[in-house]
Amino acid sequence: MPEEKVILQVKNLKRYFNVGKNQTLKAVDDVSFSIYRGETFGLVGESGCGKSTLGRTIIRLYGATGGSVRFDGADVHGKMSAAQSHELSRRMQMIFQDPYASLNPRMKVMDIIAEGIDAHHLAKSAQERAQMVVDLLEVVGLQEEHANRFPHEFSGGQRQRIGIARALAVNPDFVIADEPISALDVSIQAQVINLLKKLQEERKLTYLFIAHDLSMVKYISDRVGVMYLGSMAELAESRELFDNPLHPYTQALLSAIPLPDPDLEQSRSRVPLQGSIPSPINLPECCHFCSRCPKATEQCRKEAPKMVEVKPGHFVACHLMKSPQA
Amino acid sequence: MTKTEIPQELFVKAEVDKEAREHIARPNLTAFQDGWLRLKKNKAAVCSLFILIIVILLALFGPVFAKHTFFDTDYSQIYKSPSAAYPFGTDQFGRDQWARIWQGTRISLLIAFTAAFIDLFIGVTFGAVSALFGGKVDAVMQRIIEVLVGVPQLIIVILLMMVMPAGIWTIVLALSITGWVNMARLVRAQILKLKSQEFVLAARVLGTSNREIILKHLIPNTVGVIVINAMFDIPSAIFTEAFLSFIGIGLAEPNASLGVLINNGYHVLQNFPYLLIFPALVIILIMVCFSILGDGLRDALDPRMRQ
Ligand SMILES: Nc1ncnc2c1ncn2[C@@H]1O[C@H](COP(=O)(O)OP(=O)(O)OP(=O)(O)O)[C@@H](O)[C@H]1O
Ligand code: SF4
Ligand SMILES: [Mg+2]
Repeated sequence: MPEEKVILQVKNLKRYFNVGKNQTLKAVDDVSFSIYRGETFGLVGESGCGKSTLGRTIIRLYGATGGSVRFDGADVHGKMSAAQSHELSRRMQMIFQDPYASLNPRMKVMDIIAEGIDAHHLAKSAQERAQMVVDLLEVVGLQEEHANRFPHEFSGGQRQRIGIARALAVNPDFVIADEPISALDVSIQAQVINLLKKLQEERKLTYLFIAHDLSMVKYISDRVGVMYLGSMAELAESRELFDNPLHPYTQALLSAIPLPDPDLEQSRSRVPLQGSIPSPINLPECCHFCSRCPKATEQCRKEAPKMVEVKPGHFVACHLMKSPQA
Repeated sequence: MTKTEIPQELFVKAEVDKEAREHIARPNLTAFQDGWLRLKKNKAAVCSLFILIIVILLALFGPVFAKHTFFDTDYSQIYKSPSAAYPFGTDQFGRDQWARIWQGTRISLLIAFTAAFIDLFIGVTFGAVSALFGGKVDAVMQRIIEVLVGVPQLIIVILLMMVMPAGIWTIVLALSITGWVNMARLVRAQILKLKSQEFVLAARVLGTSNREIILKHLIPNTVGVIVINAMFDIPSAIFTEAFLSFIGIGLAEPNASLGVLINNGYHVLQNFPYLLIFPALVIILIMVCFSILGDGLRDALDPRMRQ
């Protein structure tokens, strides 16, 4: 891929938390990937594997313990002027998981959506500000009269759309959607997904779409990264990943999704995941998946596998994989 | 069982207009109107508010309308039972209990409100600074609180009363030295909780300045906790003051506070019970009403509590 197509480059990113004395929780450990302009990058993994931490470190809610994040060439954690930093916060936005916790219960929808407009002085008058909010409400399928309501008067799906309108108000280029639908009813999920897709086309947005459910990611993503305990296990184009999963963890995840065809569902083989996810505190140097991997070897318990490009665009971190050149 | 046939034609697709589907039926209200409406629905809280207003009015104007001042003695009228001339009777010096009780209520309320206000001011500032700065500042400030909590309040108060002249301001100071700790802890906990809430994260992602985050997100969501805690601070200050006066280290004669009056009545309980009953009733009314009102306010101030 040519360089100018890359909008976000994450390189060896680390984010550790100190929990208690001499205990480090490596929530994100040495993760590298790039996101291309205009695409949707899906990020999947079990609960607690560090997806939110990764997203929040990219958007600077958390500082990086190591590594770098480049957005349009600029190091987001590096030194920059206050004005540059402020502009960056306009261009990168986030949609949150919990539609109940992500809206201030004491603010009216008008002020919630206008928060970014105010912070970046995008409206010249109160009238223009109100008009912008009304337009945004319309974009996400709500009405003008909703502007004077408080968040708790809305349903989960409506609230999530308010959150989307708030993020869109500042005209971002890149949006991190942190499990935007996992707290919603199944019937509403498709509605929100379709809205996100429509907005992406209309506004040329780039998405980092976080989910713990592979099936939704398959539908919306161009490329998918699979995370396990703070590191990236496999990364490939969406179709390639689903047709040809190489990492034992991805295989296990995929085999857990029921197939729509009952005959296929009957005959397919399952690779069940044994045991539970180990604690991420003070992990030893090893392949983090080794405690549950059916194919684990001695080597897996001693050293962590490196990401190798097995096929063009298909990266796997597993000792069983040999890069084509090697 | 009989089977009823429903012909296909009877089924009509219900058309829901898109606008109507997103419609919300509640009328539009400001936060204040909304809170007031909900408080009004709570009968016990409204009653308490009403009683408190009457007690406060009596405390302010009761002594003014009395025929005698609270320190006038009249040795021909000692230990008179309640009558038209002396609605609450008289004490061992023939002082008008009516004047003394409202004067005592006035002093008790003055002490309680001042102490609650000081607690509020110090507690909110301390808690907010501790939570907002975090890190080392927070650690040091938390140690200070732990030390203060470790020393029993009564010991501090008694020591203080011994070195300072007995009086209203000594009691206020004694109450405030440790009284703000609770408020500081609550405010700190609330702000810490809010700081990691997604709507505050969203504000940071949007580039909202720290000042705006404090003004628009943190303070409005902490006001409820502050008001309610202050509401519970008042009865507890009244009680502590009464307790100090009762054990004899509070206000001194001829000054009156509810505690002084109760102490006085307690000594002659068997012969002249009205000397104890009336001040005790007033103190109970004040404490119970403040607690019920505090509870009602907690519910009323939370927009999520309404149906
Ligand atoms: N502020 C923090 N302090 C300490 N540990 C944290 C903090 N935030 C996250 N963690 C830990 O880091 C790990 C990753 O958390 P994270 O929220 O990123 O997971 P996730 O993949 O988003 O999970 P979920 O699907 O449940 O949202 C977890 O073990 C979590 O306990
Ligand atoms: S490196 Fe070893 S333990 Fe890890 S996924 Fe590959 S085979 Fe399994
Ligand atoms: Mg998460």
